Amino acid sequence: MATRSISRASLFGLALCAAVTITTAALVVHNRPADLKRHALAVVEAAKNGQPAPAFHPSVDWRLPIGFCIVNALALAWPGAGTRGLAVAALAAVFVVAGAVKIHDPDAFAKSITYYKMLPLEAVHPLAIVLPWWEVAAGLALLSPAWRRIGVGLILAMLAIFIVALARAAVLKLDISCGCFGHGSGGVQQGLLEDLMFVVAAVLAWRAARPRVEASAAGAWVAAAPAH
Amino acid sequence: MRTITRIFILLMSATAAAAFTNAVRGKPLAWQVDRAASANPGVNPELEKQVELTFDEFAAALRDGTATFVDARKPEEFSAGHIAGAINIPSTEKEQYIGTVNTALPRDRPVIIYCGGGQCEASNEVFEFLVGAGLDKAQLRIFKPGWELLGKRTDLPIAMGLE
Repeated sequence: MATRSISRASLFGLALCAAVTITTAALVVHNRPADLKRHALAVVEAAKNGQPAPAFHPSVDWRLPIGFCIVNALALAWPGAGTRGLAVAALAAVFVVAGAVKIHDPDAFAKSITYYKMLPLEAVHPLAIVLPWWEVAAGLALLSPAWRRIGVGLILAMLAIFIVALARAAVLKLDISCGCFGHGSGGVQQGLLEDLMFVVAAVLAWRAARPRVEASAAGAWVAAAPAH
Repeated sequence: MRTITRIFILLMSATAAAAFTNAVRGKPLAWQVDRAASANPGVNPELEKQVELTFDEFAAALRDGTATFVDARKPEEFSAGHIAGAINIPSTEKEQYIGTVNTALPRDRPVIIYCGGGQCEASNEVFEFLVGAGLDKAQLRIFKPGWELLGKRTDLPIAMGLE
């Protein structure tokens, strides 16, 4: 029973990582011709300004989605305090950094929100001022066991809104930057991938905050506990 | 109930911190967008009226050679076909093109921006960027129907490639 439960969680983690890797690879390949043209133009532009040629940057950065899926898979396969703690810390770091970057440049974040063409103009600036601080607060709340579930709840609520906004932008084929980590963040597809990984990490963080007695009911988690 | 109180405390503290840091910032972000002061024609309806160009005006400027044309679409769309002599400033990476703006765009002659068509948000963004880069609003125009219309015309000088 225990073995089956553990392997089920591990399999889910593995399947998740496989799906993220395949999707990221497909996006990199799909965007490559456009990326190469963009890079060629950037090289011409740099030469005109007498600057050295810029390095090639694909528009999809695999590091964050794949890094997070590995952290998630570890916490799923070996659900100990260490691996879940790692998922919680990683999620907290992402939200604190994402908030801090936007706090640093609210003007750029306001522009990013405007480009989504989703909100009335009157709501854009208040959101650009307040939302980054909510992200930081939710990220910091994760670090305290007493506040963790409140942090996770807020993060899941924000992620739900971000995913709807990104999915809508993808459907409308809006050619915009995600704006998730301020100026220079990846595109909409990458933002979606990352946010889905954050949802899994947030669910793991929620379970990490679960009292031990309550956790006993969730067979899979307890089954692995004696091994660690 | 305790949970709701905690959520409330957390959000209110964060909102207060946001309001405070914004107020003490060197250049605070206004809580409301000042439409009339905006250099984005998509936000400022008065400006939108002033900068819009008809096809006849576009064609006349092209014939006379008095204006510089800016293509606000992505490089791959630009390289597949653009108005001959147009300069590509993709709206999505406009900041990287500040060198081109400074060297290739005239300050004292009309600059006509076009994009893919539709809402033409790309042109509005490039317009705002060019104003920020020091170009005179009075010299800037937007041809809103964009490539959707231009690409179908057979009587216009079309070029391919990135240059």
